[in-house]
Amino acid sequence: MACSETTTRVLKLKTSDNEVVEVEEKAALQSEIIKGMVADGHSTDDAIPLFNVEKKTLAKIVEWLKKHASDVSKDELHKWDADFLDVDTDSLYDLLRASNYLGIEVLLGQLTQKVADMIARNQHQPIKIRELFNIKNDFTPEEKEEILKENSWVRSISTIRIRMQGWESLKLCMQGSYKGTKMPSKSLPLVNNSLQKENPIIQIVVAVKEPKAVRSYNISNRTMESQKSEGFVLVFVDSP
Amino acid sequence: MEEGLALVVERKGKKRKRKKMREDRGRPFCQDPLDVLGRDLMLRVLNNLDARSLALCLVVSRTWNRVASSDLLWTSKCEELWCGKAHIPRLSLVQGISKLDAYSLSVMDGKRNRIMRDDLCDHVWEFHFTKAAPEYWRNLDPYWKGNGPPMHRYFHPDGSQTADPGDKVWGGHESCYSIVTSIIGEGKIREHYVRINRWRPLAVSRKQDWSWEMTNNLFCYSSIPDAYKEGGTGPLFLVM
Repeated sequence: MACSETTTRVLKLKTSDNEVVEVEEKAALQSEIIKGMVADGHSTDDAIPLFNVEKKTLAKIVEWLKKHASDVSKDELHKWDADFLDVDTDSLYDLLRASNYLGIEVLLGQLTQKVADMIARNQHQPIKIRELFNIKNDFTPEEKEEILKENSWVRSISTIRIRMQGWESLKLCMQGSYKGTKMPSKSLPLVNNSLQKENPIIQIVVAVKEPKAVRSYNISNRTMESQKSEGFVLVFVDSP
Repeated sequence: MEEGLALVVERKGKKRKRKKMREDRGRPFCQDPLDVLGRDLMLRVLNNLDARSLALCLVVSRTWNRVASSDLLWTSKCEELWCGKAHIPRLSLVQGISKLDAYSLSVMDGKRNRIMRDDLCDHVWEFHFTKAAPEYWRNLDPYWKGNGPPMHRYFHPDGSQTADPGDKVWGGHESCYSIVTSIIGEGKIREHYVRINRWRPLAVSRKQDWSWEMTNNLFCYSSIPDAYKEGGTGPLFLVM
């Protein structure tokens, strides 16, 4: 790895908890903030104060900066990034805030993508997003319906799988047309007793204890949100 | 036998306890990303989501709703949606509506199979005979003969239909059109077609790129893409 430039200056970064972390200038320049400070003629003897970043997070970021300034193959970098981002949510938040403060665009892009993936992974169920992030649901069911009605295109979802457990714990009322086989022997009343009269556009395939006995029913979408999911396998399919 | 049963119960109990511990460990103090990251960073995160996931964020909580309905996010979603489409619905380009509404209205209008007078008049239509048409007509049709651009037809608000000068098939007679829609019950359409003069009714359908097609066994009309038209095309009100 022949360096055409002779300058491999090392910058000192001081964190909010008064620790000093060293990093090569070349790597550090990936941060817009540091780049700006160096351009303004900040002396390398003094540590650059970073008031908003603590040591743990800065150490991780420096690790990223070093890796991305080095000569590695794209595939290796990609793999390394995937490992790097595999942390718990709180660390993700710390990294996000720090890289935003430091102005590291590429890292910020990766981190925001990661959080977005966490949200999108919930298979189109707001309830799961709330569970994941411990968010309080402050919508009444009517308000929620109103919003989803205004954006009714959201409802034509291709497939969702919910795992639900045990006939007895599930309260569903089957309504509308169903293909093929007869209704299950247990028709259970709806939990909040609210059936949609409008055409439900989602069919549900209910897998019973014997996996072979799969049936499909039309059901109001609203009921799915208000269920506790434990145990059945329900598959939503687009209506034809 | 009883012992065996007791053992099973105990084991099940342990399993449940272990599962709960695992769950607790997995989500210790997971926080709402919106609270932690703030609006700007959250906007960046949400920008990575696809339209449907983003729309579902609208019902997670009130604060999420405010961020997820931001015009900044939906402007690019609208552009993505409209890219490659033949026509852009006029009602989605109305001044003063949010980009989210523009998106929803566009999607809903794109699914519409009921043609309105505005749709007929706002677009130029390509006209050709089908394979089943008599040879005499197909011989005059540049679509089949390849001796010129395909024929055009124009629909006018006064109910008349015209063609380009020099159109070999036209013959200079007066033509008129009418749209027939019969509705039963709660807005369900029983039949819908377009009639030109007293010729066989044309069945109306929509293509994936939102362009229209009207056809009977003898001839076929296709709407020519005009997404470049400022202000969009089609009716100004939402049609179901």
